[in-house]
Amino acid sequence: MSSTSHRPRPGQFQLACGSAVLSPGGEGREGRFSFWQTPLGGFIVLGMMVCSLMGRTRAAGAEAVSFQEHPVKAAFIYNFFKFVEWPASRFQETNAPLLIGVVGRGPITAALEAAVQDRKINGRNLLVQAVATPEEARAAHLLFVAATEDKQLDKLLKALATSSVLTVGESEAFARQGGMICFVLENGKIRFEINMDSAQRAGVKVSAQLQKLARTVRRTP
Amino acid sequence: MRSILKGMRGLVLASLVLAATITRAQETRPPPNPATNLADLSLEQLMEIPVDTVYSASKHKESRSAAPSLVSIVTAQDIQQYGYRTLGDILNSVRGFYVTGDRNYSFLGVRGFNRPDDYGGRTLLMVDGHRLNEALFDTTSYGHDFILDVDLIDRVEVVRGPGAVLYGNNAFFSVVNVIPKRGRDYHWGEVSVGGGNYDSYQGRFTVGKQFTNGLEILFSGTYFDTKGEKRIHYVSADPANPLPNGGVAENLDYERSRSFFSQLRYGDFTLTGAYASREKATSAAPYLTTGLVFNDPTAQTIDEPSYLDVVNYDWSRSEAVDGEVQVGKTLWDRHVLTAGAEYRELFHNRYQNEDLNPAVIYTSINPRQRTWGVFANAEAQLYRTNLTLHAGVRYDGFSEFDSALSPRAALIVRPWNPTTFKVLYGQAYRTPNVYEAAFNSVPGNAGGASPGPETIRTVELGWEQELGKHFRTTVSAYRNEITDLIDTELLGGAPHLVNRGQVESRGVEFEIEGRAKSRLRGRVSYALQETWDTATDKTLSNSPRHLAKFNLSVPLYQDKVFAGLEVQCESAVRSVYDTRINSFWLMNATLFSQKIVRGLEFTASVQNLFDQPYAFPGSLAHRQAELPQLGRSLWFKLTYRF
Repeated sequence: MSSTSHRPRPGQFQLACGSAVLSPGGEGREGRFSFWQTPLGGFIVLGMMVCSLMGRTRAAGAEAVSFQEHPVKAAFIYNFFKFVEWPASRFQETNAPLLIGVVGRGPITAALEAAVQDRKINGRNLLVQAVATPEEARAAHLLFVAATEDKQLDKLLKALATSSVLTVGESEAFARQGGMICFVLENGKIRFEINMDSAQRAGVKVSAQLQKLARTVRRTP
Repeated sequence: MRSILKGMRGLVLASLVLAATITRAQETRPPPNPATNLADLSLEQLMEIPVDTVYSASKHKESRSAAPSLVSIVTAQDIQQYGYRTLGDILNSVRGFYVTGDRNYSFLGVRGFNRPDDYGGRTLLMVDGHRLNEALFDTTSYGHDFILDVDLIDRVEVVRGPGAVLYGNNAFFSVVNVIPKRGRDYHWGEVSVGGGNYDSYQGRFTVGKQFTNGLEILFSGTYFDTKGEKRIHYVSADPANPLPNGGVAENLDYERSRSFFSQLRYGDFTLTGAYASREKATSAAPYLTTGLVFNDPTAQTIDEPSYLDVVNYDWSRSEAVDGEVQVGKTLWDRHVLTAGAEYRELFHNRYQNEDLNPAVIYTSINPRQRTWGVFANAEAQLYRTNLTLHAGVRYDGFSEFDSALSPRAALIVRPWNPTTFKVLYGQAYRTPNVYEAAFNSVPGNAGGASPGPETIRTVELGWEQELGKHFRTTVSAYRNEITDLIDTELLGGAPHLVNRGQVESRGVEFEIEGRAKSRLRGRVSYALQETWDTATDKTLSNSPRHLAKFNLSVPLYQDKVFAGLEVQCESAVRSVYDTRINSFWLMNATLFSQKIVRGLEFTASVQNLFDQPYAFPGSLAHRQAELPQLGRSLWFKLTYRF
């Protein structure tokens, strides 16, 4: 770190102001400002302008002032199921539930449970399960890996490389090491990146529609 | 009391306006189904939801309501829609903050404290966690001398209260962390040109890209040039001793700045280089010496390796290296332990004041300083996520000063979902910088011992509440006690730096934020604050009692055209010469459009729409008590992405 600057020299600023202290209060100045220049006047002007500006406010967008990260990510994950297809071999029964595995405990598990409660995808229920080993992870259809679990990423992703499990993560290491869908925070909003190479290797079909919504799609041409 | 009532009336009115506009925007749609929750939204809608994640309050990601501080976040969207042009504009929109300027540097006021000659030592300013306050003057820059073009900012996190437990020196009143955009945010290039009145121009060229192997690059350069106001009329604080040239500074408001930012990222490796330089004419003529006279066309300050071509000149150079390690550990899934150590060595730290002809060196110092610190912080979930305790302490050692201990504790209570209460205690200290330590011994100043470190203790109560779907409020009350505040005073006509015994402040802040489905959003905040020196019982200078802010962004056409409106009110303050500087309100308006032509963005904005006269106080280095500020300022900008 290096910086150079020219600044007030402490030396010698001769303030010819031995008598610097003037009459306190600066009386009589208030009269110079009219009502419209007071804070209250300002707000009235503003209120009038706002009212005149109002009128056309259509178009879609999400409600609410803001959210915590985990419920929003959980809602994304629920939505991903609508755009992804697994090989038929991943379902033993016609109505077998879709399994969401979670690596790393934290608020995401509760958020996922709330998001998928009483919801179905193609007639299948969704179940959330905590996952501790690569073997357990293989049973899941979608595996979420929390950012706190970067240390075991390598082992996990290698074990799942050909297992038809859609991996979803949130750390840079996850994206780098070949995770399929990775959340990124951009401009205070959640976006996601898709690694199509990893998804194809695992035999998980990611629809073109989802790819279109991703902020980047990684694919070897 | 009357003025408080008046302020409250304005606030209530503004809140009502905000509530009415947002509620009205809702009325055009069917009433929302209470069972609706996030999972019913489409991916497109989910991508529009702002999430409150903050890093700087605990040095790891957490939600805003879980942070052991009251945090404000300004995003790139705010910067676009409200037409912010400097970091000062961004921080001025934040509750309880007020940025002032002396027509040269900008100064950040936080909760009633904005001391003259404080170049930024009491707020830690970081870019992506990298400390910007240097060791000589503690300088941070909020104007065009800031190291980053504001268009490269992704978000700004403002963490209120002492942050010394994690950051050490300078994290006194608040911590501001600016998070820049990254290579991945660009598809290759972006070019932006802007222009406005006062002969102002700005150009930026940015290249950014993320390659398929993950490598990210970002290079960006910005040039800014303005002639400024042609004639600025100043009035001497002492009528018996008027300013020369009738107090008019002619053609002395020009400013030129360049900044360059580059970043390479690959895996866990990040290399960032940043550089900025600026020349600014000093119309207000501070540092009035035999060398620098009022209305002197050669008078300017240069913030860069360069020199000032006048008879008397002073220069400084500061180089430092620092190293930091940090470990985090999660215990039993619920408790987080963070510990770290930091070492800083200031190996070149020269400050020199001299006459060139005949050559006389008045002051030359080059202290070699070392600081080191260790800290530990624990977050414990006492009762599920409803009750969390943060406790931390930091120990710092200095080669030149006594060591210091800074504790912090926070209790965060979430009795039910949309309600959070926070009880916060924090302590911080600041050591005098090289300039402050040398100040008294410089010939011409009053002499005497150098000032010692200052300490702050803050207690704060906060309440964050979501109201229905569309509103969120924040209420807080705080008390600061500052011991040994480093401050300037006049001693027999000569300036002198002292440690003031005890200075206190207390205040309440209120904010309401609203957001409607239609992308209409807004914010109203009000801060009432008092600061006083306990020895004299007198309010400090440059400390407004009321601060009110109003922001509204109205979508005029889909997500393509927005009108941004901003109003800022500041009540009267006292100058260093004990005169009163009047209250003022300013309105800024911005029209922002995007996506109408592919890749093209257009911004038209007006700052100080009604051309209101307003002034900020100067320091004891100025002969004028108040420095009038810029009138109506127009700005047009065209940005093209390819």
